[in-house]
Amino acid sequence: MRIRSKHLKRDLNQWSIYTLAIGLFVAIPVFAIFIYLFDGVGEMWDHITTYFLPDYILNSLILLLGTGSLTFLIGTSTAWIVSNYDFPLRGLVEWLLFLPMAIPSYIVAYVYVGLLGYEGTLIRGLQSLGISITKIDVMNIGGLIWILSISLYPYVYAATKGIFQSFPRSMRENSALLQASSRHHFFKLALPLASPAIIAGLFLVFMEVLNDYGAAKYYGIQTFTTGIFRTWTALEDLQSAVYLSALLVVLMFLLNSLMNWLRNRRSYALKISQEDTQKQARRNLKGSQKALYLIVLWIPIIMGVLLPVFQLIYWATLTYESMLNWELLWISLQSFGLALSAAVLIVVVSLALINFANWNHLKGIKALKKISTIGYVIPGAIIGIGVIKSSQSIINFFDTYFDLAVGNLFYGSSFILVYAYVFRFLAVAYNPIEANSLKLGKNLSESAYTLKISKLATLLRVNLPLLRPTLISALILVFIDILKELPLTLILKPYKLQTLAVKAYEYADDERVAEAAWPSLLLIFVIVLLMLLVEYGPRKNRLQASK
Amino acid sequence: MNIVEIEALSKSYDGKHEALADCSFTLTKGKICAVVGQSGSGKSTLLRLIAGLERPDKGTIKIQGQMVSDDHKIVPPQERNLGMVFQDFALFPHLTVAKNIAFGLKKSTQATVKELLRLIDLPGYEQAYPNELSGGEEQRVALARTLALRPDLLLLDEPFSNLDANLKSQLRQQIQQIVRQIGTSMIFITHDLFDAIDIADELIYLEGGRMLCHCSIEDFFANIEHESIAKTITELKDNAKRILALTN
Repeated sequence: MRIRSKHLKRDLNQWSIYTLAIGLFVAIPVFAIFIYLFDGVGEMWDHITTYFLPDYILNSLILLLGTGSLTFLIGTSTAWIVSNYDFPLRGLVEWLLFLPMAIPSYIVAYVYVGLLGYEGTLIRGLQSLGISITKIDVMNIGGLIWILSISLYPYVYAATKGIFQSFPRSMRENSALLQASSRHHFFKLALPLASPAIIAGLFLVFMEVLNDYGAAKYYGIQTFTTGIFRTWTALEDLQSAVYLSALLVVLMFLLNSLMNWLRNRRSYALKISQEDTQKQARRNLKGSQKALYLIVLWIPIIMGVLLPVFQLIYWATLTYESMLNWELLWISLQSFGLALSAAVLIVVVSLALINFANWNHLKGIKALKKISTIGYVIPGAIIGIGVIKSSQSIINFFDTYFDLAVGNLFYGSSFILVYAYVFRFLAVAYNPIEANSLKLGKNLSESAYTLKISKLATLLRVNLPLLRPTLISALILVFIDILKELPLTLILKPYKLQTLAVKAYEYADDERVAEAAWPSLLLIFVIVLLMLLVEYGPRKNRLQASK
Repeated sequence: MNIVEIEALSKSYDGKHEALADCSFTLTKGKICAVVGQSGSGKSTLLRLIAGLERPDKGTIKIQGQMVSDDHKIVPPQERNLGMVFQDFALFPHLTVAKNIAFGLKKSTQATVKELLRLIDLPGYEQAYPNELSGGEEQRVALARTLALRPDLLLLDEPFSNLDANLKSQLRQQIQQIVRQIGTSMIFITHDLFDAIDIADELIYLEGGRMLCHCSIEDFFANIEHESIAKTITELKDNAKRILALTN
């Protein structure tokens, strides 16, 4: 932290203190993990390192490698076809390819067992065609790689499609004039130029793979995240769970550094004129190429969206009598209420952090705002452990020094769960709000200051109205993430609270997969609706309309 | 009476290169002062320091005799009673012209807005939005918004750089007229010496963050001591000669 001591007194203001307070408060879980390392290893640590840790490491690395390769293949190929070719239902396909984002991977995982297991829907279909087959075993690491890949490829697809569609028309024309084939153009030009975006998309995939608990647990694959849960709940050794979490944090940061290094090495400045890209012509597909490309496009849609949704609808028709009741409505209301309150809080904290940091004049404190947004790269299980450990310390502190029992405040309410959501999902709201605040520029605020308007009043009267579309999008994105979230909610939810995600997971874990269909479908339906709202809702404001 | 007193003002953004170095000058009330220099000479930094939008590394600033910036305190922009017009005008895009002009007023009256619109020669534009205005109109609305608060000092950042030649000359005269009419003081930035010659009483010449001179327009041309200023003026004279020769 570089703070010029000469002007410290002059430059320190109330915003520096607020930024410091919010930043440190939000970042407690990650600090906690490393502070509690000093308490020494837990009782089971030797046992874990001997019998489990090698599997955790190996399985996690295989999952990263397998899912990384498959999402790269699916994401880049679909993005390339959608960006460069015209074909029937192109607009619909372009949108459907995003949809796996709306279906949590743990739901896809149990749906596939229902499709391909004994008496599975697809197996029965194949048997009726005379094919002699009893089941296809997906409950192994290969199956998990497939499930995670068809759930997570949209991260690569979205990032890559954006860059492919921004390529100037002149690039393809030059390439053609230099007599380069389509293949040459793709491998020698498009792919290298898109590599920073692909790497960014892959990084998000890796984060999700390491964060996954539901799918890996259901398939019985031992990963770091399932290991942390197992150590804490089955082996009852929280301290060893802290050590595992610290190891995973180190792995995440190594991965982060590697991805940043790769991205910086391969970053190119593309000179793109808006006019040029708008004119980019898509070519028509013909013959065998058309058939092949359509298969490439429809496989992830069928496997990642249509099959799971149809299977869920089929199960829902079997269980509607027992499942359509007040309890489901009550669970839905709790789920939406929790997600909405946490999302509102996250947007408010993001706004406060961005603006307070800008209004403070100490550079070191400005840097703190970045630390408080690292939650998105830290798996939920670790955040859960960090929050539990720090809560315990606070409870003990009040008990020892004030003789006050505050445990119920932490564990009997949703307080620590909402707090953990703030840390985990702050970046989801923070990044777009900060990017759009930067786009607004400093001049609007500064001109308000010279018109004798205070900073807070300027925020309310100038910045917030102009940022309204961004704030609504950020709110919806955080809401969706919280609605889908499983590991953190499982660890930190109070006993009486139920969410759709947890209920779906619990039914599936109890082998009541048909009952799991209702909470899953409700979850998917709401998320799809919100995704449509973000994509097609009112976005333009006068700033965008201005010159 | 001095409206601005600046003493040994310095500012560096990266801690190594000084954007403004050891700058001192005073400006008398009611005067128009042009700050002239090439890109990166420190013109904008000087203006932003006076406005309180940047924090100096050292030096002091007094406005109307009151210390607003030194090593111990910085008075925020909203308490300096000055107005600033930004290079991109910074009109609030979600507000109408009337609401933009009335933005800083505690009690806005339609009469005040109407009077200011008449002053800037844009009557009837109350309900227009900034994206419906031309560059020159935006410039004048931004000026009216600033004048609504009756500031002691007007700061204009490159007010003529986004305008075409005809509009530029017309607007220069209009701004000079308004400033004289309301009796305020003005500091404006320009990289074009013609702007300074046309409407300024005084001129500050900056180069590489250093103030090379602060004098009246007449003295600027009479006492050319510095080599780079001499070169600029020679180029200006040569161009004028060429144009004269062509027109003759």
